[in-house]
Amino acid sequence: MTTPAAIERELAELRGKTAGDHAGTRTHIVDLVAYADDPAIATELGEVVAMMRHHRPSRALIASGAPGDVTAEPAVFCSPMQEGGAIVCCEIVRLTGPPAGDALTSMIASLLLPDLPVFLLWLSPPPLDRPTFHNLAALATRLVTDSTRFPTTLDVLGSVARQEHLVVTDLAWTKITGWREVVATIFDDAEHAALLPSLEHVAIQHVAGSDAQARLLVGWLATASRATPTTSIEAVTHEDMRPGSLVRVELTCGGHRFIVDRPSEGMATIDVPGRPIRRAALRVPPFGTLVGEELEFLAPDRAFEAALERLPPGAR
Amino acid sequence: MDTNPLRDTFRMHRVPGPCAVVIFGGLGDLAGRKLVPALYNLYLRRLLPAGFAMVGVGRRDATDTEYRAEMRERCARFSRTPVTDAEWEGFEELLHWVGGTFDATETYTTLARRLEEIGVARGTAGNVMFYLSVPPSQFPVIVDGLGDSGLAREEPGRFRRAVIEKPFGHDLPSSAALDAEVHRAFKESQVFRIDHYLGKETVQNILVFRFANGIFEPVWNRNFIDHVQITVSESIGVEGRGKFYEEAGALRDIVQNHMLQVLSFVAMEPPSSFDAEAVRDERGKALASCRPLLPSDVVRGQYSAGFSDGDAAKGYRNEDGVAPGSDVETYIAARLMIDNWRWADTPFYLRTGKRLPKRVTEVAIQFKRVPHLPFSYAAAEQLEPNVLVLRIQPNEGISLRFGAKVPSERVQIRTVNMDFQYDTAFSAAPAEAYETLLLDAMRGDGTNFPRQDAVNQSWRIVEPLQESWTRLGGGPHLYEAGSWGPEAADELLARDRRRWRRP
Repeated sequence: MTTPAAIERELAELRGKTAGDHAGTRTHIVDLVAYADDPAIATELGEVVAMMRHHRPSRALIASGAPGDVTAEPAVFCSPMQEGGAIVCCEIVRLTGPPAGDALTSMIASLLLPDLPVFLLWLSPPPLDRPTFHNLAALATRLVTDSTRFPTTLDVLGSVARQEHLVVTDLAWTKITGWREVVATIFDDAEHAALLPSLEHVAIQHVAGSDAQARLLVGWLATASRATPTTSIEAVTHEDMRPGSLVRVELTCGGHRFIVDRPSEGMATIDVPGRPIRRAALRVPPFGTLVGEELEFLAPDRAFEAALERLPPGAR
Repeated sequence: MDTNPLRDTFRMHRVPGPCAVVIFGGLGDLAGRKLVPALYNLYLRRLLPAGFAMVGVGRRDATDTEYRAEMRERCARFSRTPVTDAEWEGFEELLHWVGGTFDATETYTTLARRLEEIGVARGTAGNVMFYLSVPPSQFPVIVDGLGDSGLAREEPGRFRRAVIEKPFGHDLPSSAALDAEVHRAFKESQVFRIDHYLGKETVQNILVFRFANGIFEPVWNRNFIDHVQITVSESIGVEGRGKFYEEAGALRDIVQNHMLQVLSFVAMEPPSSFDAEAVRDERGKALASCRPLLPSDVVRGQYSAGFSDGDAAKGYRNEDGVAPGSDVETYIAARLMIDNWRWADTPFYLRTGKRLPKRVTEVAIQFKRVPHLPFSYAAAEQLEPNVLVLRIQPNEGISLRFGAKVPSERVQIRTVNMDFQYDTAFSAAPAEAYETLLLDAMRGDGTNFPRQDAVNQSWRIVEPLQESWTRLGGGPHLYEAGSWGPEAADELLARDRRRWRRP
């Protein structure tokens, strides 16, 4: 049977050993709490946090359900944030405990560093009727999900936000920030911006496996343009890209067609009528970077919340 | 751009309007090390406008393809983000080259034609920012060329801007002359003077630190502050720039621009808004309140042979490009007074030098001691005044020194540090100063660019020194490479019963 005090002692020792002369320096950004029923996902999350170079949480508490008493495996990862910079540590505690009941959540509540925002990373669809989720949500400032892995998450996020009074976000939305920026460039000039309210049709191709990113992009376009476009979302095969990644976005607006194509990772082409085809950098960051980026934001993302309200139906 | 409803500001950055950037000296050291890598990183971050192009101008007769290949090699060496094929292919399309000498009319005719063609192809909307990455002697030539060819002329809905690099002259008259030259073709609102120190996050954060927090500004004045020390130290020598340094010296290279600009951030009054003119007005007023530096309040030094970073280091006079009997200063220590309500009688001590023990830029604000210490002398013997240190580089952060009781059965007070490090709180790698400044200039935001009035004020402050050194001669004090400067600098503070911090 472990106790929070024992875990804190072990972490302090590990910090001393790992960071050497820089013992005690840890990030002061956020507490990250992650829960996964699947131990394999919990292990993956632990590895992702340990590898994070930037935006590291101060302390990550990564929990998964298992019968028996609560167990804890504390670890400390220290490295310079920037070349030649100070060595900074991130503490990771892997916790297992009964998936139901209060044992795990009470341990997590004791281990949170004080006065820091708490991000709850719950990748699977948030179960509103489950006490573990409810208790962890009560500790959290912000809920981070990943509807690319679990597409049905998108359909419950709105009610989660309302019921738990939580700021919610989704790594699928983080993934399309680059896409949104590239699409937005088409309408930077006043001539094209004037066409947006007459957005008639949005056609999106995405890599098979999840339509979450495509649906979010449509939801965003519909709310931002204040139009009611028809939609077609098509899954395609693309071996070089991750499941769910967007491949092509075609907008029909005031009789013109605007096309953003991503033939390969890292680069997009933008085809605007009457203009030469342009290229833009478009690389979707790896999972750890996406999680790290999400830790930057505390306030509600109004564009995301609005996009959730205008999602097209998902693939069945 | 402001009318684009797809641009939300929560996650997306504000992107400038369409424009072309023309870099005179496009194959020079600054362009290859800083400017083009900065543009490449802006491209990767999708912060360049959709309508964008860059045109390098220089003497070499090269094709666009050759120029792109050379810039790829430079970016591979100097970009903070690795160069990859996919991203570079998109970026290199934006790069163009115009060969020609700066004094030839046809150079500007060719440039105008290329800008016209590129503008149509790339959609730059006729907006052009000219970056003069050339020695100051070339400024008037290029400005005349741009003026005479009509390239500097703005029209409704079409901007033309000039970005110039320091040094802005070598004294007050030459600065004024340069300014007059620049203004022959460009209005002040079109001119952006780059001092890359002002692009550093931590310099910009001085404003946030002072004016977004309730606890500091009430004590930020002569009633609570004993004095301020600003240190810009380098462990390197002149590093092959001996010829340049012989003309500049520490006074012109560092004090007149970087240090006085940093000082203006520390000493300024709160601006009414974060608007560029409001901020620059207040910084200008702070500099206008500074007394000129008198020779009696300044120590100049020059490094002799010694050890630096564990290696033997030769003396300044033995560096390449340096005259054997050179009297040029590589070190300055100065006591500067500000005549205004906030800072009267509160000295600002400035110290900069090459071949000092470490590379540090910091502002240390030393507070006055408490009026009465209710502890025994023995208990408080180790107590030092409170010092608030704003570390600009390296290890950007803020620390506060204060007294704490040593754990024991008796009362004994020792000074401890409370330390805040930027990279433990905000772990994202900050953008390079040139990325920030290029973006600001493309957006037309002059907040982080010194205005000519500030440049004039800073020359006014250092002018008596230049005159005195020229008229009276007298060499600098020698200090050993790897030391904290000449003893005379310690004596300068000892006169005021103070001493330098050891950063």
